[in-house]
Amino acid sequence: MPSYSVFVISAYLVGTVVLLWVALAPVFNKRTLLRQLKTRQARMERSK
Amino acid sequence: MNRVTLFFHKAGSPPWFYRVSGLLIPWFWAIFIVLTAIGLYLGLIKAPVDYQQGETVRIMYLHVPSAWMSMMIYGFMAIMGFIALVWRIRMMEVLVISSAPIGAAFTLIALITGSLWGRPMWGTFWVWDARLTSELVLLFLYFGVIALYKAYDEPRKAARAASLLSIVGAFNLPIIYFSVVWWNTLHQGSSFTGDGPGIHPSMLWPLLIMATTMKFYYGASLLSRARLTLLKQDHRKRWVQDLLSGENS
Amino acid sequence: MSQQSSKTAFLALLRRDFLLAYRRRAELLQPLAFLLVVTALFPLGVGPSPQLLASIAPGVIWIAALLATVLSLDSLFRSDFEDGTLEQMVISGQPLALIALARTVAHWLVAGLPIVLLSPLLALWMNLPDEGMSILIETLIIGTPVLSLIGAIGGALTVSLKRGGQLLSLLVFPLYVPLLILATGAVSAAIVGLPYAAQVYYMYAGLIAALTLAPFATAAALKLSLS
Repeated sequence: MPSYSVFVISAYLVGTVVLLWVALAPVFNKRTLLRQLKTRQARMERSK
Repeated sequence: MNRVTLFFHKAGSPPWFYRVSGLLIPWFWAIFIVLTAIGLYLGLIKAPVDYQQGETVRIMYLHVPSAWMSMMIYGFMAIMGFIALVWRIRMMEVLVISSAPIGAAFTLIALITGSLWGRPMWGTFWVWDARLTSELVLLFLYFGVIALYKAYDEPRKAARAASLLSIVGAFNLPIIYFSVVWWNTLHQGSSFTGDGPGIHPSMLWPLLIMATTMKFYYGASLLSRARLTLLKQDHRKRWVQDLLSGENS
Repeated sequence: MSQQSSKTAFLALLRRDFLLAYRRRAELLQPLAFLLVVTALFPLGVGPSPQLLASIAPGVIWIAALLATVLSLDSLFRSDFEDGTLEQMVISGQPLALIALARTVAHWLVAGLPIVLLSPLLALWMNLPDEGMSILIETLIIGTPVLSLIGAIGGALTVSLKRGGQLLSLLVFPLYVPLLILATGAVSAAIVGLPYAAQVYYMYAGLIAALTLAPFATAAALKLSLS
């Protein structure tokens, strides 16, 4: 039986990449959102 | 007020949800990492190779749990969508639309690993096998829910439309599955089945562990997405402002 | 609300929809012309071999019917939504599911029934064997109302969006999968002389389920779009 490990490895690679991406996307998005909100808040306080 | 209704009242409040989910997420990630390590060790190193399928059987420990998750998440979306529409609970709307991308990701993984498994077994990457075909239709259903949500400008209306669509889709999902199985037996004779009758414990355990660990992944990922959606929707509200100034100091 | 007035409202809506359809005849012909053009493209694309055409005929005719239906669905609620008629219907006090059902029935009569009537011509073009002819028409008679009923849900969900048309096809095509499989399966079975009663009974079951459940989903979607 020939070695099929390349298929196994690529399957797990794809799984890891997709799951990591789905898990990390909200983390990065939240970071940018918080930064935006904070700058806006700071601007509001300055204009008060 | 009894304990159950009190819980629902609390769970329906975004600040409470934001705080409690923030406490839960690290635990979910920790359990996920530990269980995945055990599951992968048992599945990729300890478990024997199949005498018919050789090494490729190891794809099962990722493929089968992903396929289970893809269907479970759609079912969850329909249930949560029903609650969101009937009792107008806003947290449920948020959970429905936060679930959709995760479900779509699991469907995509199930499809890709399925075709990578199929290449050595069938000699081709894609066969219109009943399972692959119904997973593909499921992926289109997820795309529909996500696209409908993105098409609306108003987030709450968008979430309610997405909830309604996921309920309609969930009614159709079993019908789609059975019709595809029936169509497949009509056109192709018997197709390859991943798990034969009576799976050996040395393969069953890693499969069950991987299936469990995916649920913790879903939990953690869902909660962090829901938190982000809440922040986006409520960024003018008091509790978010308080949260921001709290983090500043 | 008495039964009598609901019936009156239902019939009045149907009459209004027919009148509107009659005054916009040209618009109604577009999906049918599309149906003919799409079907005519297949022999040009895959070659005129009679055997080949006969073997793909059930699928091609059904897919063309699916596409033509979706094309006509976008306008199902749109004009009523834009000129405010839909809001008047909602506050009229009649059950919204009944209004949705009336619109769907009217849609089937002006968009679905012509597909059934055109299907012998399409079958002729696609060289469909004679054994499949009657069953093709039967599946279309059972199936096109289901297309309208399920499609109405999608039409109601996308009615308040500016570019709903493309989204609509993404929403409803996956839901049409079982119907397509059963209908083409029945026609193909009939052609080779196999029994096809099971598929047809399942389609009847689907029609009854769609007839009882879909109007409520459409009504919920309409309410949502108007909120």
